[in-house]
Amino acid sequence: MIKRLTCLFILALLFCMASAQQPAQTIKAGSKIDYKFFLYGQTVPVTLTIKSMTGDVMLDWYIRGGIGSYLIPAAAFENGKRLNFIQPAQNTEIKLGENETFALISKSAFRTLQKDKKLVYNNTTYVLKENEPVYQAGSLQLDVLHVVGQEEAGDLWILNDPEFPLICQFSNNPLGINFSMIAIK
Amino acid sequence: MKYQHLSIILFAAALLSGPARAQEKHFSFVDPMIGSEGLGRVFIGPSCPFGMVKPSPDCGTAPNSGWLPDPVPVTGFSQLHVSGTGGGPKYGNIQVMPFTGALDNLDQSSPRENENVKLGYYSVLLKKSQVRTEITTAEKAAFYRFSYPSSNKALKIDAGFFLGEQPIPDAREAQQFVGSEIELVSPTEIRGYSRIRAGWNNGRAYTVYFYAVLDQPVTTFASWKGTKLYPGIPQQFDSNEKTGLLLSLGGTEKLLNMKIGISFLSSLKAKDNIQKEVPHWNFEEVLTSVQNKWEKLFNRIEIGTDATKTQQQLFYTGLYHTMLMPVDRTGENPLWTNEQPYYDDFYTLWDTYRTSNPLITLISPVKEAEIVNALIDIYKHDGYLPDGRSGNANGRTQGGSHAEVVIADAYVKELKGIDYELGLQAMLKDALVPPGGNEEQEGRGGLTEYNRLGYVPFSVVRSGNRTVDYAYNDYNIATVAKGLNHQKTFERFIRQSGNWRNLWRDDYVHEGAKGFILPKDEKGKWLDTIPYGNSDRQHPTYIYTPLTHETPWYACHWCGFFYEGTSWEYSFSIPHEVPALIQKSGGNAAFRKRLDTFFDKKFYNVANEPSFLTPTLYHWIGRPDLSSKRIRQIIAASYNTSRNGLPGNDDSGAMSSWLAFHMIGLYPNAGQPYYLINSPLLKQTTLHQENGKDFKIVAQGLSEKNMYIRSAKLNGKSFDQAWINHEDILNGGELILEMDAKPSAWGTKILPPLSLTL
Repeated sequence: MIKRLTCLFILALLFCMASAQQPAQTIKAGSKIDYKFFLYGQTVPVTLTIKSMTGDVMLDWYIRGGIGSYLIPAAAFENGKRLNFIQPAQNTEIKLGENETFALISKSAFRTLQKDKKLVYNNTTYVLKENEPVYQAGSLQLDVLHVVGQEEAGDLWILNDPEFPLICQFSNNPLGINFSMIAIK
Repeated sequence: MKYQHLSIILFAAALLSGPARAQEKHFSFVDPMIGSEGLGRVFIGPSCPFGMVKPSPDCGTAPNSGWLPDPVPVTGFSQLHVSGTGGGPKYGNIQVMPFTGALDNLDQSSPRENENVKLGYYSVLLKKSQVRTEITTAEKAAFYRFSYPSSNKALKIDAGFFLGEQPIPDAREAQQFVGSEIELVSPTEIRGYSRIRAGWNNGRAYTVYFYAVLDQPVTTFASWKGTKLYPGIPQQFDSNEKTGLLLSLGGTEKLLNMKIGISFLSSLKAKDNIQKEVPHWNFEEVLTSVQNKWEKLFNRIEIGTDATKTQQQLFYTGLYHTMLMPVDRTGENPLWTNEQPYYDDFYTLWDTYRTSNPLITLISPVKEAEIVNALIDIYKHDGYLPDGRSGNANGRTQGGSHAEVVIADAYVKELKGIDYELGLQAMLKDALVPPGGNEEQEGRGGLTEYNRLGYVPFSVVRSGNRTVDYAYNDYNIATVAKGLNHQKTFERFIRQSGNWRNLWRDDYVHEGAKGFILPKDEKGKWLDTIPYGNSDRQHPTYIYTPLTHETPWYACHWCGFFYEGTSWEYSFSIPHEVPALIQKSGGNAAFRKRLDTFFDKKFYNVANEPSFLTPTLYHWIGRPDLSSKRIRQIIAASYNTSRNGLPGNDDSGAMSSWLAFHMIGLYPNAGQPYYLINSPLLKQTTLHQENGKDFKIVAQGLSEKNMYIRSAKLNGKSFDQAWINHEDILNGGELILEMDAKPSAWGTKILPPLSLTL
């Protein structure tokens, strides 16, 4: 009886732990992600809506009444090597280059990170920081990988999802464009 | 099409509202709530014209004017505010709040109802305590009347409160607490001070002293320091912590009256301000006095009795907003002593030089001369003219050194009682002496480069509008220098006034328009792609176009090529050389197309000042009818009598004065001695000038359809030009405009005056 109760308790504990950290699959086509962007002393709320997440990735943005899109080509989503921080342009779809991503890293870069505990992106080596506390995005706890820039500053918290390695937070960006995830809807 | 519909709706609404009653006082048409919500951010409490004390509710610490609409609770009522500003808040000092019950809680914020706001008067019912609070004010002392539900009366006086507090110490544009002190001097007297620094202009510390008197005695009290309450302790000295008092009042009366004197010198001076201005306890007398002060100024511009109520509200509220700031602090200057007037809260001249200062000149040249003298006196003692100034500290500069325009405007309009030689000296300081790392506060940033290269290179922030603005400021210097017979100075600065050409890229074509003010580096290379960030490993760039707003994405708000604008906007901002601008744009037809593109494609930003003059630029191609048409479209789409009735930050009355000028059919080109004539929105306007001469503008046959000027007569003689000299207005007389449904040849031949040349 005690053995059974112990098993039930462990199962319940595992269930609680599993539900505390949102599974990566919470990001789906149609997900809305609220960010706060920190731009040279100004805080700007930005909402990204994931319109498609296979093949070409289309991210619609909404900023203070303005809308537009970023299109990440399938090749870049698969093998991109750098983030493009081009300014959003009102009512415009910005198509990024064949090796450029926005708000996420490429799947191949993520696989490298899983394998080597580091990756090269933006011409910078980012090394995995281990034993990090659980990442909190608003009320959500997310399973993320925190990597730290080596040659120059840059901290990224990347969603632990090989199919959609979304950047939840970028701090100390030498380009001055930093952001944090607030919520996933 | 949209504009046409809105125009018809506004006109119909104006007609339906019917003519205003002739005998009604002008001040009664003022609605302080116009522009209080949305971007307008106007001050809603009572104030004298240019009044130092501006009591108003504060709804938290975030809003610039203190007030926010329901349901945000009222935190209390503080005594100093600004009107229509953007950026971080300033002031919000010495907060009072009535309540009922025990003296054990520092938070007495309350929801509200029955808010009633009129010129010189504010009242509200605080729902938590059921205390009705009424406020009126004198110049340097506010008057409160609290009606409690019973004789259980309590009052909080918070010497530590201020607006714009941020959790991050030293956050940019946040006000920072320095110190405070409070003392219950007697059962009916409280004094103390609040010392705060920074805020929007990142200014040095300023101290607001107060002295409050009550008409009921305090029976029990508790003071506080930090968050700790001290029951029975009547004072708290300054130890760099927030202080205040919770008071219980005695007597069987349900009514409590309180006067609060304010001073920037001492609490005894604050007491003296009460004794001088409000030596009695008659609330209505104070209210009548503030109303009369405004009425006296409103009487200077009388609009026809056939003006609709909506027109009266828009016009007189526009005048009201224009004269809320700068504030007259004569006799309250803590920095130096002399006989000159002292004005503060120039917030900022970048915003106000175009229309607010010229409108004050029309209403009261004596007042404008005081303001100019205050600017020159600040130069004399602080070393530089302000471009912005608040809390007794210069700052911030946004573009040029626009006190130059204000002084030149006074000079060409022959304002009396100003030492123009000293004024020229002050202007030359801006143009010749770099502010030495203090360019955020005063002077001209990038001056060394500007004087060496003839433009400000891109490596200096805001190099685009700095170059364009400095060129115009140089023209202002040349204007005054020529008048004062300083020939060499004139020659140098009239030459420099053409410096805008050095950033004009002749061959650049965008949306069919040719030639733009564009970024150039120190070596003279035009910059199409611009690097951003500080990375050694990545070298990203962005493409600069005439529509680029690179802030805040690629640069901080103050670090772009233009301050709050694009090249499309600033490339029209050459107020002294419009004919040259037309020629550079490809001639009259190309310039008209350029203007049409600007408005039709919505590159025009109605919410900010850089484009204020642009709708009238059609005058210079002989098409004043097109200027008038654009102005009407803009007003119909963006101005109304609602709480959202202003399209952008009112900026000390800048938006409001732009509207007021266009309603009477005149528009100043500040720094130059003439006004452009547009189709008025009012059938008749009479300027009762301080020199005793009246000038009347009559639009005969004006209607929704008859919106074009067919012909004009000045003092009975044919007047075939769409501009008029200030001197003609000063001389008094009558300008009769015959209105028609179709554009005519009127005003198409004699173009606005050419600028000064070598």
